[in-house]
Parts: sequence; structure tokens; C-alpha cells
Amino acid sequence: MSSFELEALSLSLQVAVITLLIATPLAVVLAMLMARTAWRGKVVLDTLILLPMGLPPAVIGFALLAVLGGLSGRGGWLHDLTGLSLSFYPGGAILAASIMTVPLMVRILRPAFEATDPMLLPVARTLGASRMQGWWTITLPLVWPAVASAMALGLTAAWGESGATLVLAAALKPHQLGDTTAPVALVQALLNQQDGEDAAWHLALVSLLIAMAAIAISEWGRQRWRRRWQARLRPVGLPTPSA
Amino acid sequence: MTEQAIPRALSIELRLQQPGLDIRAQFRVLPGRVCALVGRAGSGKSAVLKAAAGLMPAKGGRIALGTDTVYDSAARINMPAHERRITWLDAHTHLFPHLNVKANLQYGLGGAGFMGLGFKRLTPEFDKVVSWLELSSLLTRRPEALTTSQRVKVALGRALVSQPNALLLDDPLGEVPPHEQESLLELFAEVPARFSLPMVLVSPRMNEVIRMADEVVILHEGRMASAGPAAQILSDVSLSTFLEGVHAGSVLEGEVKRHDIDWLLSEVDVQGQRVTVPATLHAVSSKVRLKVRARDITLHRTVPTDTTCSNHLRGRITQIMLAGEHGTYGAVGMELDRVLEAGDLQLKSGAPIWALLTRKSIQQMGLAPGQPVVLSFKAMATTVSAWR
Repeated sequence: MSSFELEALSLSLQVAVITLLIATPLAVVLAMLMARTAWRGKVVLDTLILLPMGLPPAVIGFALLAVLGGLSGRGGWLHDLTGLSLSFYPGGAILAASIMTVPLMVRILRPAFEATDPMLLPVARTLGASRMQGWWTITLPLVWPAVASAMALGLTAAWGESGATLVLAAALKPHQLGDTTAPVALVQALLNQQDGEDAAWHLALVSLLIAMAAIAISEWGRQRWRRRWQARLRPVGLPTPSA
Repeated sequence: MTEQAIPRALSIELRLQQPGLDIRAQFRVLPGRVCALVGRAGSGKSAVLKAAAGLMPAKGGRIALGTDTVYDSAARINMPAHERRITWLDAHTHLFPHLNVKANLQYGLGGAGFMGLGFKRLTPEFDKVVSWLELSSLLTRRPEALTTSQRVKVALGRALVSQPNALLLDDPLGEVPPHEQESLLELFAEVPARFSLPMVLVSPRMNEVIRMADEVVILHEGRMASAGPAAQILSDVSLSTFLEGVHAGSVLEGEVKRHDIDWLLSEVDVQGQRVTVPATLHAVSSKVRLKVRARDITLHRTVPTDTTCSNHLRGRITQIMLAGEHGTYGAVGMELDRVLEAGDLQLKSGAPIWALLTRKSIQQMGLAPGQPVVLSFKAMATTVSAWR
């Protein structure tokens, strides 16, 4: 593999990991909020959270450019407000990946929160556990297979995010090779390089391996969570295999 | 939490706002006593319990354990649920599905640790509860492998191991099959003596209230309709018809005197008078509560001779009023005579007891307040439950 490919892979990995660190807590909080609370206007937030899943990713990239700057050389709101301007890496790529990843993770996490008995935490509190203790000892152990599942899928989604990222790459560093994430590098390789096809194959294969591993983890988490959920719903009094 | 907390009384004075219901309740429960909150569905009983445990916001009022305030709207004190340690238990048990029975029982000992994997201290309380509730064979099981009544036992055990300041029971036997309720009820009834906690019970089943309650508070549409000692409140026919309709009756407190092995009958002393009931398993000189439905009682001027009724109690009419939805029948309120043994002077008034009669019968007999009467009922018309 060439240094161009390795650099793209390592950049992709960095973007994916940082995105995951940002998206996981955010998605968990949002999923819990959507599953456990009822309030006016909840449907609006629900729509906003899931909107990126329905929009063409290129539109997200364009919207990021429009809001944060970089269109036709102007700074945009971000520049006006803070004096900072958006760069492709790491800011732009991570932001684009986060926006695309969070809805996916919320989608996976929300049913897990909805399926757990909402009175478990209150009961734990009457037994002397604070909200934080209850979260670590009751809520998290019950939903962690779903969290693992969401994180695994989130990792591949962040790794492979290309729609919005391509738009950002095209606008922010149009003629520059390298210094980019794997999917974008794949496109660049095909467009610009003599032996581009080889590089594209390498990048594609690594992406395939990562996707397979992540989806396997994700499915395992989902199955495990579903089993638990079904065990909880099983009618009482029937003989259980373990008993 | 290891030090034995001194049992403190639970005082509750609460105002709550529910959709379409404004709730006000005020009562006090001493350690080792049970107060039953009774009322129709939707009268606000469950809400009072949740608010007392700190699981639901209150509109105002004051909750105290002994002299320690845990909630006071005026003084802006609102202790969170985990500091109040007023444990709450309902029919769904809410056992933690990822923990086995042992870990569930120990949850309240603190230090469940990261993801529930922490090291647990074993306390004498834990051993006491496990042996009393006979849970030792279940300790390694997951909640999903338990029957409903086992779950209820574990939930009760988990609440008691945590050494709470008070125990609030919201229809704990509601999901248990009827034939298993009896034995669990006996366990619940032992809690006050064994753990000396103030307890509040909400139950739609009168037999549970009669078995466990020392005091009864009746809630109707969020307001307290009545409150007082259990036998007195439960024997008030206007209240009990409201709760139970034609099954309304009176509760008499007495002591088992004798078992008749030949005829399988038992004799119970109620204020010096003898009541014969079908044989019970309660030992001689144990305290029992008898429930007699008001419509099963017949009134006579003198003790009838040619009858299958084996119980003839002497009493005095205190009041006569109309009862039923449209005043279709009458309710005769009486006080049982207290038959004193020689030299034993008791000035307390007799136990109240009610009979439901048709207006015609009342008229024909010429019943009026102040008259002495004989109340007759069959042994089979009584229900006996242990008490104390």
C-alpha cells in the first residue's frame, strides 16, 4: 500500500473514532430523552434528529458549507461570529460524520430504552441509589448491548461517510490530493491517479473488512438485547430452559 | 447504613395535582403499624404513595420521619428519593432483570458497583430476610425464571434488606394468582412485627386490609372521606357499602377460645360474647378478626330457638338510616353489649356492627334507636382472618 492509502486509512480511522466519541453520548442522551419523556414539541425534535437520514448527504454537506462558511470564499456565520473558519480536517469531516451518525445511533438505541421497564430506576432510587448510581448499575447494564450495537454501526457509518464529506472536500480543498478520508481518497484515486484502480481496491477491501466486523458486532448486540427483552416478556409460570 | 436506624413514625400531609384530580391526604403511621389507604380506583391512593417515596412531585405539604422532615413545601425541603429511603413496592415487582436474586436482594446495601459487578457486603439483615422468606434455593436464579409469587417475595426481601425507613405497598399481590395470595398475605402481615417499620398498604381486596391494617384511611376522589382504627372504619356501613356494595359488613375483633374437634367448629370471644365459626387453624388465645356481611345478619327481640343460626349476640340499636343507591333498604347500626366478667369494669363502648334490612322489616319490627336486640347469623356467614 502506498503512503497515500495509509494516510487516508489512518485519517478515516481518526475521524471515525473521534466522531464516535462525540456521537455516542449525544445519541444516548437523545434516545433516552425521546424514549422516556413526553412533552409538547417532542415530535419536532424527533424530526430534526432523524432528518439527516432522509436528506441526500450532499445536501447536508452543502448546508454545512452554507452555515459554517466556505461558499464562494466567504466566511459564513461561523467566521462572522467567532473568527474561525471551517477546515476540511478535522473539523469538517468530523462534523459531517457526526451529523450522519447520530440519527442512526438514536434509531438503534431508542427501542432499547423504550423496552426497559421505566420503573426500574425509580425503584433503585427508593433502595438508596442516586440517579447516577442507578444509571451505572441499572440502565447501562440493561442497554449496553444496544449501545455496543449502535457504536459498531456508528463506527462504520462514520468511517464510510462520503456524501457530505465529498461536498466539503470539493469546496474546501478542490485540487489537493491526499490528506483525506478513505472514501474520498478512493474517489480521488480513481479521478486523478495513474494506478488509481489499485489504490481504490485497497481502500475498498479495508473498508469491507471494517464493515463486516462492525456489522457482526452490531448484530450480536442486537440479538442479545432482543433475547433479554423477550425473556422479560415471557409469561410467568412457563418452564424456562435454564431452570 | 449498617447501624440500626431507630424506627420512626411516618407522617404524611400531601397535596397532589393529577389530571382531573386534586388530592389531599393526611395521616401518620407508627413503626410496626400498618395504615391502609382504601378507595375506589382513581381515588389517588397510588399517587400518594409515589409522592411520599419521592418518585412524583407534590404540590405541597409535609412528609416527616419522626422529627426529620424529608419534604416540606413551605420550608423548601425536598429530599431526593434515595435519601428518603421510603421504599415502594407494587404488583409488578420491578426486579432488576440483569441481576440474579441474590444481587437483587443486595441492591439496597449500596455499592452495586460499575455495571452491577461490585462487591456486596453481607449483612445480618440479608440472612434474616433470606431465611424468613425461604429464598436460599433461589439466590442464583434470574428474575425471569421465577414465578409471580417468588418475584413478590424477592421484591419484598429486596426492600427489607435495604433497611428502609418506611415501606409503601401498592397492591403488592395484585398480579399473584388468587390461590397463592393467602400464603403471601401471611408473610406481608408478619412484616410489622419482624421489622418495626411504618407501613402503608393500598389494596383493592378487603381481606388484605382486614388482615393487615391497624388504621384505615378512605380516599374518595382525592379527599379523605374517613380515617381511624381499622375495625371502627371497616364496620361503618355507610363507608363499607361505598367500598363494597352489598358485600359490606362489619369487622369484629376477638380472641379464639376453644376448638370443637367433633364438629370442626371454633369459638371466638368478642367482648365477652361467644361467636361460633367454622374451624380455623388459629391457635387458642390468638387474636382474630371476624368479618360478617351486614346483609347476613337477622335481628330478633329474643333469642330464637328453632333456627340454624348458631350465633346470637346481644346489642343495642344506635341508629337507623337508609342505605343503597336510592335508599331502597335500611341499615341498622348497633353496638354489641360488652359482657363483663365479674369485677372487670370496662367503660369503653361496644363494637359497632351493622345489619342491612328491608324497610318493610324495619317497620314491621318497629325497630328504633335505644332498643336492645339479638343479632343472629350463621357460623358459615363469618370469615376469620388472623390479626396481630
